Amino acid sequence: MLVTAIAPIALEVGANRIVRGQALAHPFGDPSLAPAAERAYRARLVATALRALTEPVTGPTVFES
Amino acid sequence: MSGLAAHDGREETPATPIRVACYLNQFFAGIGGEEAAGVGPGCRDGAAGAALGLQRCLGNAGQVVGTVYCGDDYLAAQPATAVAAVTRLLARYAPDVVVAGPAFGSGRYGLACGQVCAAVQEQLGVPAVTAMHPDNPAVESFRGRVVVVPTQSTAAGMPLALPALARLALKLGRGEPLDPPGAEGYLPSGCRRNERADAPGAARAVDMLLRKLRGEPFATELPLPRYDRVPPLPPLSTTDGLRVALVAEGGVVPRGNPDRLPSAWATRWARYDLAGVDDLTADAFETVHGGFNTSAANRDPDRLIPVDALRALEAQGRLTLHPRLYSTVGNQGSVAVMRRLGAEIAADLAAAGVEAVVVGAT
Amino acid sequence: MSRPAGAVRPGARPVTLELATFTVDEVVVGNTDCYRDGRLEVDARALRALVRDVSDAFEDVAVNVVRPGDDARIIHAIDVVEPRARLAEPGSDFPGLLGRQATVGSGRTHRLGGLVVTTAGEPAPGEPTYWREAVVDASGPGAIYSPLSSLTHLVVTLKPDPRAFPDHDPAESLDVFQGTAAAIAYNRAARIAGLRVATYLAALTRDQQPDAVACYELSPVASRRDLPRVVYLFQMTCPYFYGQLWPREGSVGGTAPPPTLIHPNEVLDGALVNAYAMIACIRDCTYFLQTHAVIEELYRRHGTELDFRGVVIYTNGDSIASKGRIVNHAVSLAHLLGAEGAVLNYQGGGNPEVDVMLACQQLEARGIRTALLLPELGGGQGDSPFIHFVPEADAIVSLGSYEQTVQLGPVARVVGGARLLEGDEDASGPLQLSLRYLLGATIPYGQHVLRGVEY
Repeated sequence: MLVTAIAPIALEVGANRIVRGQALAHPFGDPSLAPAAERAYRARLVATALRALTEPVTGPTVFES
Repeated sequence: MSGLAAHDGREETPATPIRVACYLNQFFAGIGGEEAAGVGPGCRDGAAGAALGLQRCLGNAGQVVGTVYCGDDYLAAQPATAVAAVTRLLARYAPDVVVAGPAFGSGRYGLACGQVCAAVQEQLGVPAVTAMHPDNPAVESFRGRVVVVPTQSTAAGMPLALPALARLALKLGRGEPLDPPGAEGYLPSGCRRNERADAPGAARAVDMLLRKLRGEPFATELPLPRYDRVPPLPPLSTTDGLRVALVAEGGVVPRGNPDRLPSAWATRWARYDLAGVDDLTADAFETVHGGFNTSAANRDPDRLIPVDALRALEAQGRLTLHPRLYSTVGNQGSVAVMRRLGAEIAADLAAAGVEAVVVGAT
Repeated sequence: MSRPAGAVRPGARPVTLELATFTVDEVVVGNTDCYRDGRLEVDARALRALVRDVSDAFEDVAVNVVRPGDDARIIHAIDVVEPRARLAEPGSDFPGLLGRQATVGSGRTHRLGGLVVTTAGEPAPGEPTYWREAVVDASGPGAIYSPLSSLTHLVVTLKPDPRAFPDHDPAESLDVFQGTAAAIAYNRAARIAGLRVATYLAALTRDQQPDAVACYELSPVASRRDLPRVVYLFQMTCPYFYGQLWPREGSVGGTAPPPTLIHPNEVLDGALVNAYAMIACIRDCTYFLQTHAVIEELYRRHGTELDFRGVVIYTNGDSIASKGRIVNHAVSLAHLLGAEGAVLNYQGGGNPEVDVMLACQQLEARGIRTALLLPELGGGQGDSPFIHFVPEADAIVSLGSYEQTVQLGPVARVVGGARLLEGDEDASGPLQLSLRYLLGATIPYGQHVLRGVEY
């Protein structure tokens, strides 16, 4: 599945399972957070990504973390 | 090829009809249905089967001098020899143009038509045209190589397909250049090229906008594409014990970029060993992506592809992280190239027994 | 106290720019700087001194002339500037970079027609070089690919002094736009050098009679209710705006400024200047801003076919949230101007294309019809020329695909350098180059005549 901040492109191109990332330049991170908080954010994002693999979809779908 | 006599008040001398040779499958040639799909190449002088309809559309301007046929199954089973035999038969009629089909939605027939047209062009130097539905699998292989007229998906579209085929056959047979696909009514190759317009882009844009505002017809210079749709895979029942791989579009590479992955217009991918790597750190990894501000990612490359988070889950026994990181750079990347890279990475992953992939894209 | 009967409200004065053209038929490198009757004589030594005066970081400065039809090629081009001087308001040329702050776009500006000042030279240490190379052929098969080929170029070739970049670490990874602080300062100085020479040359026409005067004024057309009201939504990538860098979101220190309105005359008269050597085929050279083709075209038809209501400038966001924030605001401003139709461009790669498509979608949703100018990416079999598109984008002008390879012939003279930055090839040879390196080949403002067609 695909993690990206730019969901419109992912939907148009036809990625079926999409998780919305934080930002284009750092989809899996948030430099404004303290390191521990950022790691926790990344862990939540990855958990959503794994959850998306267990969800049925009928076409391109965005999962929000 | 003779042209028309000058208009000088006398009766015009009729032009010599274009010699047309047709290729049909067993059904449209009138040999038989599916049971005859194994019949080998043969021919009939003049127009036979569906070629009779084409002759009516050609009128006096063209003459179907011969109809060559072959069973779809026969050709599919031995394409090289069958196409060679069909080509020889067509050559015997000394055609100015070859018309194959229409194949409508039939994949085997479409492929046969495409192959025959390509062979006739390459080996006989004779122009050829065929027709089939735009979704016919043969279209992807032959568009751009062979002139393909779009049709409906079934033979119900014959009354529309034949006049279009006849018109293009006459033009090709006379050696006349074809107008662009949109104007002439055939499928574009899928490629584009540059030309000089008669006015600068700004003038054309304001022209187009004014027409649109006035409700007048206008034509976009860039039609919108359709991306192919890949059917989604059914969901996994659980991710416990899953073998997961990470694929980074963000250009994550070992520091120093040993494989010289380019920052833009990449045409390849790289694979890096993650053995002993629990966390992507700035001293060991970097991004070479040229399409965005890379400072945050370079301070912590896990922000582009979460090796640390996956390793943490692996330490908890929740899943296995595939020990190779796949990396490329999507910046300014051509869609066709990225499609190829994706397919190559997927093949590598499948061979390694990977069950799921997390792709990080910028 | 009530007003006496019959008094009228004083109205604001119209903004009128008079562009006085002095055509340059001949350029001679001689002993003095002088323009008379179409003949421009330049003193190379004096021009070099003008340039050196801008910065200590120029180790060497060379001045060469390349004329249309010359067997010559310009490489390593940085920026291109048309000589212009705002003689009615001395000291206000290119405010914030060359001159003092002043609102430009009104009064009389002198321009030299047919001549441009082109800065060129190797990159500064610490400058990102992803798309630094830029080529202009003065003749031969390559000349059709750049709208600049038909102009006479006064090429100012700059060489950076390595001693000005003491802290540069070649192993340091660089942001695509940013580069080191020293490189940013050098490139700002390089632009100022070009502006300085350009303004100086244009000022040689002081007190002379122009060959032609063009008048730019958004005269009210309220009486012509049948004329559709059109706005230009101008997407920019990091130009100087009155001398201040206008960053994209996420680049060069963070937040993009909110979209804003600008009078079209300001674009034509030096409010915007090129800041970065982005991909050559779409680079926002100052010359293309000064001669902005969409603005010129809208002015040409103002009052007869349309009512040109103004220009919204915006830059693109790096996240869905910032794209939304910026595009929403830009569209709202267009609507506020009374737009019934809008022309849109985009500048960059796939990232800013998303913003243009979002803007198109939102404008159409408000009933404002759109037409877009787009260069094409891709171009091979099965390639899409888009990264992102919306169904509402049904009126697009193609500026050509810049992924096509073009053949350039051998040349007798190369100005600006010797070997291409890409592939280290001898620049005088016959070259097979991607169109992306031809300066202005697919300029998003629509000056050029290239178009992509399907076949």
